[in-house]
Amino acid sequence: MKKLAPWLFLVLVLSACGTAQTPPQFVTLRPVAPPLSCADFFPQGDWQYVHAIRFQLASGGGGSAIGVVVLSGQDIRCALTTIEGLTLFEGRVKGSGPVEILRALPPFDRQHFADNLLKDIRTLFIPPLGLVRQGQLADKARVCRYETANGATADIMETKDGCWRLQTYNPEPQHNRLVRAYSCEWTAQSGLMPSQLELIAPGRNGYTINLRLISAQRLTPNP
Amino acid sequence: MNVVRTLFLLLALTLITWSTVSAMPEQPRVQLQSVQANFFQEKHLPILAQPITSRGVFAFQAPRSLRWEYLYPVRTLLLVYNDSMKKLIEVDGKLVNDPGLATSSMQLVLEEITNWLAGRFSDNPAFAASFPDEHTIVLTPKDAGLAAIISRIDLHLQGKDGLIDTVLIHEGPDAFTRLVFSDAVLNRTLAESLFTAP
Repeated sequence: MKKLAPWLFLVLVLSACGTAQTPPQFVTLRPVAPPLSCADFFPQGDWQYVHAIRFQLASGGGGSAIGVVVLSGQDIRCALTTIEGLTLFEGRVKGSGPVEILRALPPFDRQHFADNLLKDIRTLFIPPLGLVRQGQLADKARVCRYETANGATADIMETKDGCWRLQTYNPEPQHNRLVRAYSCEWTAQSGLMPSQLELIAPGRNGYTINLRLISAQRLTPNP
Repeated sequence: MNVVRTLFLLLALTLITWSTVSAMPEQPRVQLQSVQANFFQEKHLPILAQPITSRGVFAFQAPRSLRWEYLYPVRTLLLVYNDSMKKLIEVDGKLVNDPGLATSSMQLVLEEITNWLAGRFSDNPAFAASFPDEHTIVLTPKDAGLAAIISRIDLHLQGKDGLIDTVLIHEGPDAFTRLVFSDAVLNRTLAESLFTAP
């Protein structure tokens, strides 16, 4: 078990080596036929999610935990606990401010870990900051393309099973992420809410995180 | 005490459940040979609108056999039998070995089990035990490092029989884990396979 602690999500602080990728060719659609709406891919309003998390390192090994994410606008609070209930990490970030560690046990008390954990949570639950265009890829898949000020691109697209997939393209390829969402349910309040999520950080030092939704609770009604 | 030891300590602490203790906890009324029970766990954190709930079952047979099984939300299984210990976790519908378990924690677990089931609440050097009333035992960490992880443990006894039905593990302000036990069966002979196979 001693081996687990340094592994458990510390992998998130590791840089995943990857080859540089560029976004695929994209044709702007206008107007866009419903039901595609870029906002639908992300939670609407404030939510508390609890997930069973399992991670695997590309280099081998892995572990499990319970993850809590509380979304309130652009603010995020999160916690990781063991299956048995021991709190490993609790932190929050307000908007684009610094990540604040509220409670953490070593080795999860490192700022670098907290920063990267919150980055991955943003990727999973918060629309990317930047200009968004709707379009179509060569394979006819409809896509929302977010282009950010730092030169990064994030494509989020519908999948044939009615869910979505997100791929980021960064000037620094180690920051690229692929997210696949499965078993989505759509409501006006929740958007397309997946019951399973998979986040992949590619490369030799990469990792895969699987999240299985345990509970989703709406915290405040939409105005 | 590191995180891992603490985690197993928490697990071991729950095993006192249903052991029968008297108002003088050092002298248990009944020698417990075995116990099986269900448990319900609530994890409370300040950020949670509702607690995270878990449930499972456990079995203990003296002197040192243990089965501790979470059934929800993640099925995990800890098996202790003689000198062997293994932890399994369900992945894609199958129970597989959880690589996160080191046998070095085993001694701590077994020591705690022995102490608690014998009603020796004061024997653990890591905690100071106090007895504010006949239904409550409060354990306070002596070591500052441990106190940063667990600030206090409350054990609640039920009725005149002194069965322990609730364990509250306090981590900090508004952060605690509550374990509630039910449907206990005491001193039944349990099959060996219960502690060796999923």
